[in-house]
Amino acid sequence: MTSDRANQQRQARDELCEALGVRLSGQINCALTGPDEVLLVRLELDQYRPAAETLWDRGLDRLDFLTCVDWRDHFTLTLQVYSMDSGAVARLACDLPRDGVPAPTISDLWFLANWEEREAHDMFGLIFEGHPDLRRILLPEAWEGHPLRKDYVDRVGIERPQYF
Amino acid sequence: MRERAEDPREQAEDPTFPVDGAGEVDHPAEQPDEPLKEPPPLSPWLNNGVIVPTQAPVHDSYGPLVIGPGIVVHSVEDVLEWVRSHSLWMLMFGLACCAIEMMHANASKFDLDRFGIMPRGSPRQSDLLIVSGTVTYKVAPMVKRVYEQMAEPRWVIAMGNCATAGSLYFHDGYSVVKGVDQVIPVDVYVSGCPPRPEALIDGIVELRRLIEGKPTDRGREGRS
Repeated sequence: MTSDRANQQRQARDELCEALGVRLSGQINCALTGPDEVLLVRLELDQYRPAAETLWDRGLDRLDFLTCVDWRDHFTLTLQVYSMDSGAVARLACDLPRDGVPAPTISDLWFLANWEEREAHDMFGLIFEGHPDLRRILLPEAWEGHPLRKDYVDRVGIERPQYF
Repeated sequence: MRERAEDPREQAEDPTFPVDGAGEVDHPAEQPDEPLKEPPPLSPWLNNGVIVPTQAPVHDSYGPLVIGPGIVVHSVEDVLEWVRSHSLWMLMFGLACCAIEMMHANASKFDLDRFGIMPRGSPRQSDLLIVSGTVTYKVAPMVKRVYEQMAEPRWVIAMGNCATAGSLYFHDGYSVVKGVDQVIPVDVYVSGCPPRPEALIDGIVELRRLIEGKPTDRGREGRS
């Protein structure tokens, strides 16, 4: 981690953390995770969209993934973005309640988030407010339930679903 | 009332009823000098155009009945089945990792072309559908639609354990169809995860025997 690229990444990460602090008016929960010291920002739901806009404005133009974790009492919406220029990586984690509170979409910033949010909607039942086309992406339209939820009951062992 | 048929002159004036011989020129008939010979028989196995078998048909054999040099008697259906089994055009339809093995079987090392199997890009031109891979509930309507677009006669090989019975997704997989035979009829099942090209070729040879109505290697009687 002593190369120029690593220094550039570290500098970009520090600038990013500073910009997030300015945008979110200091209410920010940052940490460095893993051996690569990736910036992890834990957010409230109302901070999610401003933080994503900040990352987009700072040039983190590639969305690595957007997924969700089911903790049985709440969800955690997780995404990682990356900058092709500076190499800066940032992860956002935002807790969502289980009762169908919609999260703001980021599909107008990163186009990949369109399908990623559809997948999170398909597998976990998350609602993304402002998404242009929030349909199921991997399962048939007539599917009941969201399979990656912890409380999902598979119908295959009970009855055989007919989707064809 | 005049009776025109009894007056030959009035009949001759009417152009619709010419007199016999009017307007014709007599030509001398060319009589052959020697009378026509009886044509020689085409072959000793033909008797006035009727094929006479020189050997009794053997009921155990499935091949054509050779009744002489150059003469083979066979049913049209058997010839059609023979032709169909030797020119199975398959649909290029890959679903999962089994498709890699199917491509490998198509390539030069295993060369499905020597069985008359040629990959086609359209289901309307193909006879054989190799369901190569995992069939999910999402893709099952497409598989059924592809099958319905194929012209009859059509055959289906379920390649690999997923297409056969759901494989490792059988118990806990929420999204995988437990065997493609729930969607479309299947003629031959090829096991393996994924099966090697030799196994696929074995299944194809089995399908050819099924088409030709021969007894198969697995002890089942084929369609005949």
